[in-house]
Amino acid sequence: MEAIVAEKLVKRFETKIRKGLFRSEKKVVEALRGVSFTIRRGEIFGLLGPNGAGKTTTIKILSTLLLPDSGDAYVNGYHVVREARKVREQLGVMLYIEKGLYRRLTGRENLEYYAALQHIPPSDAKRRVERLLELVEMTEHADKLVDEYSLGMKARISFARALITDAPILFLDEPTLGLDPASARKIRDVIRELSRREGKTILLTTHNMWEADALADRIAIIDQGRILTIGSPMELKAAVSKGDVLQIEVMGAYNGVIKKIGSIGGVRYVKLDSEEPAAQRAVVRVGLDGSARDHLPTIVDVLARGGARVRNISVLAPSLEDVFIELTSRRGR
Amino acid sequence: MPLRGVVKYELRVIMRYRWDFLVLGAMPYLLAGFFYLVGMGIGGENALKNFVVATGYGEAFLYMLVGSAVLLVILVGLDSVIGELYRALATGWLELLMLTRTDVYIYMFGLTVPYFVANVGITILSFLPAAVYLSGLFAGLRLVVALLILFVGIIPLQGVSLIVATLVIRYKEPEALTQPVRAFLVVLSGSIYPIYILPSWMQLVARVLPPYYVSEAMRVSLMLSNPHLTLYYLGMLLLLTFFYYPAGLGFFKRFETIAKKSGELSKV
Ligand SMILES: Nc1ncnc2c1ncn2[C@@H]1O[C@H](COP(=O)(O)OP(=O)(O)OP(=O)(O)O)[C@@H](O)[C@H]1O
Ligand SMILES: [Mg+2]
Repeated sequence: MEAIVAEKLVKRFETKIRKGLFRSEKKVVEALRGVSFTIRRGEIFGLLGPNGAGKTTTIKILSTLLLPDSGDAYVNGYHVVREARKVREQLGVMLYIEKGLYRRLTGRENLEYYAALQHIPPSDAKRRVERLLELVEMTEHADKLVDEYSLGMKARISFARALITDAPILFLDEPTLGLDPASARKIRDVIRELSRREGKTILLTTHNMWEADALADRIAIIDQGRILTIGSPMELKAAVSKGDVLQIEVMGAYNGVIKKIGSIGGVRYVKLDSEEPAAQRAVVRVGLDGSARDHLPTIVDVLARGGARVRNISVLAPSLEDVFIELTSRRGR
Repeated sequence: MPLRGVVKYELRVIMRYRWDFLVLGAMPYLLAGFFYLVGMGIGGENALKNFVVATGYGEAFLYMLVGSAVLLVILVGLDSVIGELYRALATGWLELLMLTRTDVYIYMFGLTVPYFVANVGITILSFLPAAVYLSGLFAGLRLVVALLILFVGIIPLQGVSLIVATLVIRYKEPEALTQPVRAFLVVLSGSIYPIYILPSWMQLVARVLPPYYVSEAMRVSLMLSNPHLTLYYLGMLLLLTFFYYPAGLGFFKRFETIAKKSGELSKV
């Protein structure tokens, strides 16, 4: 049986667009427009997408905190609306990194309090909390007030809190957002360990392509409330690796030139990676159909005629980022 | 068990703000002293005589002290429920709570216990010297009864507070709603001024709200020792409990369902 099944989930939010002091207009935001996927037992499943894609909305529906407008979802076979209580019993959820902690309690007290709310007897809770503190390497700071914690420490406590019931399924919403590399790595290590050693099913969201690539067994790319593709990182990359990816650093008039490159035959997409308008410098990413050798001369020629100077060109292996750019540009954005 | 956890840790949080509570303990005295002096100032020589005629109670200061304590319990109760619910919503705690096996109502109830344990503790501390000084040691016993009444009165008060709190988080403008409600509750509580000075429709409203019975029952038990009257007030409180507590929970339940549809749970 699948651990999680989502079928055509739709969610709209009504928001008010403020226009001055008194006037406001209702606007409907389509957060999810028919999201479907399944997650297998024991799998790390990454939901990858930019800000506002609908990742958190998906997690909240699956954890019974939001009701879908239509569609169904099952967690370990339980329906998220009709059997909400059962669903919650299957889950450990990390929704925020630093929110929802008691600032006036210590890290340990926060965990013990949550354990009590989860109906874990105090003596078991003590032992479990101790083990979790070790797991996230917070034993040393466990008895300080959360008020005095750094973001990374709060994240570790929030993460440990999601593990308190030893639930078979974990939902982690951007578990490493804003953390320094060391804290982020620690959390990723634990996620891997939980999956490998304890066979937990893990759904994690991220907008970090690299993280999804490094952690997830399978990835769903979501954008504007739609799933664009699902597959293992390898499969997704293979789908775009028919051609090379070029990274070109240009100086001078690059604005008009980007459009021109896009219209060259054999170019799948062009995207501005970064720019420094003051220095008239930009890095452009170009996805190709074939090899760099075939297309490079034309591209350089177009750039030169457009008045841009090429500073540097590198040929890259396709990454998830290219998968993402390709998928979103195909839909004409 | 979860209830014990809530009480234990919430109490711990409160205890980390000790000074607030010490100040609260002194408040009934300050308030009572203030009202007493105002009364004396306005009433002049006959102030105390008039007081006895008007209220039927001999000890004006003790009367004021009871009233002030009830007043504080109303206000602290209302503010703590609204404050906690608002904080829970704003910090994402409410969502995390809803993910646990504990019923949100159990949590809500548990939340109020420490506040009121602390409150009653304060009231004991502030009353004991006054009661002993004014009415002798026997008052100590009556005091226990009075505090019990306060405690019984807390539960329907919580229900009322929860109704107000739910409206507040639903309509997102806390002050606009709480200030009038607060003033209204205070006036209708009869804690400082007896309610018979109010227009008759307001007296009627006062009689279906818990605060009035709390102040009256405490005064009667503390100063008149009229068991029948005390029991009558207690009975009314119990009756109101059966109405207001479920009503409060019902309001909250409704909010929960709406919020899960609209996405209001995660934003303020
Ligand atoms: N409670 C809400 N009320 C109104 N609109 C909402 C609410 N929650 C989300 N939205 C809207 O729904 C869309 C999807 O939001 P969601 O939070 O699911 O995105 P996300 O993928 O988690 O993004 P992020 O990376 O920024 O966390 C956004 O346009 C957002 O503005
Ligand atoms: Mg999000």
